Amino acid sequence: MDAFVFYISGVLSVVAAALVVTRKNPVHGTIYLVLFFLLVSLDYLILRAPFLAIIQVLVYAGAILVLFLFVIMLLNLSEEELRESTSTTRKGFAGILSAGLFGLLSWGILRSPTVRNMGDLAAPVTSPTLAKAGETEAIGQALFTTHALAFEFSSILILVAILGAIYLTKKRKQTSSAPSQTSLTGLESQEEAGQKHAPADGARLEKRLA
Amino acid sequence: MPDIKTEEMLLNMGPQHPSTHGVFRVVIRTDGEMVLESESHIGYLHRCFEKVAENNTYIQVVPYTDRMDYLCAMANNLGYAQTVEKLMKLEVPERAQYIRVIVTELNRIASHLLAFGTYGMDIGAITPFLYAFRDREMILKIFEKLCGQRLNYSYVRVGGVTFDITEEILADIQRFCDYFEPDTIKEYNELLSYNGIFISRTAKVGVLPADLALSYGVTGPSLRGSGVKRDLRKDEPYSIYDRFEFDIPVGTGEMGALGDCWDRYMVRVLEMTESVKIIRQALADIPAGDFCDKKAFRGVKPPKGEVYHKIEGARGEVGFYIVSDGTTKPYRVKARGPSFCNISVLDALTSRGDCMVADMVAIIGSLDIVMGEVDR
Amino acid sequence: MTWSPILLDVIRAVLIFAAVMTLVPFLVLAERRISAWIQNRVGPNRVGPMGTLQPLADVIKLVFKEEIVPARADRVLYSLGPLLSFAPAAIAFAAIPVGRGLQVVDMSVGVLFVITATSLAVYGISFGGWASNNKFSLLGGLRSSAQIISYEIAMGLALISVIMTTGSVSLSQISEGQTSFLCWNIFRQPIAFVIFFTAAFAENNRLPFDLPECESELVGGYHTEYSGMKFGMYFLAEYVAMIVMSAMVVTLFLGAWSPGFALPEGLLGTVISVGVFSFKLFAVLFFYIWVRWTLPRFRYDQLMHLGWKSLVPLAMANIVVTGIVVTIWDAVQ
Repeated sequence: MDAFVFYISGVLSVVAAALVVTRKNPVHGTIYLVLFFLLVSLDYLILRAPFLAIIQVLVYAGAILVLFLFVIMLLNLSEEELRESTSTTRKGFAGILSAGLFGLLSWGILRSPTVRNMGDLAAPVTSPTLAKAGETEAIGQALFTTHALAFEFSSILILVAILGAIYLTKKRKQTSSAPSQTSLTGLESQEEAGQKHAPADGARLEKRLA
Repeated sequence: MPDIKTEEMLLNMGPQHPSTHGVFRVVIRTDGEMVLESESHIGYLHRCFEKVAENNTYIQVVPYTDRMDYLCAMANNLGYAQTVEKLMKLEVPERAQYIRVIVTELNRIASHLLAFGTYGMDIGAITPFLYAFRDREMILKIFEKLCGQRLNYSYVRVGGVTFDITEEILADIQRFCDYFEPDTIKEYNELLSYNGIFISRTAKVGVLPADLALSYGVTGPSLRGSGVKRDLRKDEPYSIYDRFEFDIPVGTGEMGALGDCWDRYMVRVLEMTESVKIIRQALADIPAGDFCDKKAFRGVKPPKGEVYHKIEGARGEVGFYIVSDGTTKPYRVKARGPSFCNISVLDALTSRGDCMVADMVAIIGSLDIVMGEVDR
Repeated sequence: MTWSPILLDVIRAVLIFAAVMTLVPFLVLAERRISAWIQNRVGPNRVGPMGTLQPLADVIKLVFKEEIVPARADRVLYSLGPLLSFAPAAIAFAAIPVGRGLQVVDMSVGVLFVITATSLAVYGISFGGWASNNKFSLLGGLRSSAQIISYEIAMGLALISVIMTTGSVSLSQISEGQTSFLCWNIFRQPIAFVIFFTAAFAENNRLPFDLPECESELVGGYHTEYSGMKFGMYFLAEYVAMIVMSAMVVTLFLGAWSPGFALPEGLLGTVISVGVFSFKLFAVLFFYIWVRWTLPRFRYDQLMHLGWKSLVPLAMANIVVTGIVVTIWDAVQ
């Protein structure tokens, strides 16, 4: 049963992943990416890791991709912009890199003694500790005892990333010519207000709308 | 990598939009949620009032004035009637003067109630709107009893008013005043005026400085919200307003900046109390006698000449300029609609870069425009 | 593998799903009647006795309305939007215990499952808003994605302190832990309750946080262009999501199905527990409706400030305090 589900989800996730990179429209790509994440989370479920499965969806599909979508929508690319294709050399370079990464990962996983010693994964789990290994409690224990150092390091990494993001946005604000928010008291001089709304200039926004 | 830029968006608010208060269109240039610039477009409701007036007799023009500011038609009727009377140097009977004051002030309350209700709705509170309509309904019922109309009364006419006011209607008005003030207004304040979210949405938003307001010709509650104490009922008393005791509420900036949306809103709420005050005094003093000048009712034929007269409507100064060539039809009628001048300041308020899309709605609502009067 | 447990699961799933689905029309009716009562109106009272058949009439009207797809809209996504918004909310209900031992699936990660499922509802709104090819819809979609992400963080942080007190992420264990009145999490975690409830309003796009669809600025927000049953689906999704969130509030904070004292064993106890759960659910839903018809709407930046500058820091402080208290409590015990 598990193997059956795995094969279906495996095939579908490969298809979904392929569709992510081939879609021209980034919004469509995002949908397939969501689908892909859901399918991966199904794999986790098969592997009896419900916590990971849920976190996969919650963090990736529920939060990170929504931000992706936010940015894509905000850019609101026109159809001409979408039709622009990237150069073949760039595509080839990206292909070679991805293939290399794929090979490296496969090699590493296959060589790993842990994976080799696992035995038949499809066999029913007998050991009670192993059956509980994917549960929240076991993961929590492992994170805060055995892997505490790595956990703390990764949190520092994220903190640094947040600070970097804040720094970057701050810097942009200073250089951009966006209207400042300081004019809340708004005592704009009358002449200026009059000039801004000169009747001759009246249909300028409307023209752009057409 | 090329610089990623978020695109500025042109958003077309209106002519059909839930909160433009009629067929009014604003094109706004937005960067995300910020409004960078706005541009108003009016004229969707233009009905050629001024040209139509030239082809009708003086009496026939009255119904057209109803349809300008249809939420405060009594004031428009009064403005027009008094202008013609000034031209004719006609003295209106005492009783008619009192009736005029009573109905105009009642209509002012009805108009401000609608402004209060729709403003709540613009900010997202739907319930105050229904409360306001419940009370406005009482006024409309009184008007219906009085002249058979609920909106376009044509009640105030050259020479007086159309029908006499009965004791029963006077009792109804008295009952309404007792019901309305102070309990109901207190209820409104508890429901909306001092609600935390409402204050945060309206205070310091759309600040209209007094000098800017004056330079754009803003009048009425919108001007008084900026702290300028100008009200024609006190400054240049017309009719019998000099006989009554009442205050002119002005914006105080108590919730933030002077002349913000909250101030403009609050001036209207306070004005309702003052109107009730005037009505109570008028009800106490109303004399017996004629309700109209019978001769003027049969036909109006003012002498050659021209005249300008203005009164304080619910939205500001309602002015009429009439040129007469001595016939029964006016040679030229020019109307000054307060909404038209008030709306002109909108672009200046929203193009300062501190306005969000939601503020746009709050500002339009706080100016309390009636498109029928903007376009005429 | 025997079929009977699966069959039982299916029956339970269908029953609970059907119960939620039938609840929606009555919730809509309740909303209209209560809003009418709040606003001095009569409300729908023509169709059927006391207007009880009004929801049916509404649905028939929606089904028969023409479905309009705007020009240059993304047709596939446009149709997918309502479904994507409805499905997650319906799925989420699977993990919620509606009575003692009455649950479609007793998941060990129940709390996270419900939060995950509801967080996916944002796609329906964003896609619908984007695919409509309408600027108002797009703004609504943008607002909703930003809003839901922001309030999910506050909600998650509030949940962490609850999980710390109860020591479990399983909804059935959390509800069993609240059998006695004083153990209700609302008393143990009042701050988390306030944060969670506020965030729940935002997650459901209900007033005062209904910015993605606020009619006075964005006409209808993400569903401006929708008509017919597609609009009906969004409408349905909103109410199902509201029921799910109310059920979560009841389960996490208001003692779940427990009336505050021990229930009798057997079937009678189960029936009572369902009744108690429903009563609490309706109370929370009433609160939802009450708030909607009383308060004005926040502005976009105010909403963000409330989320990021008030709720998130408050929730974090709450976690720290909870951690200290839990540690001391464990040491004392």
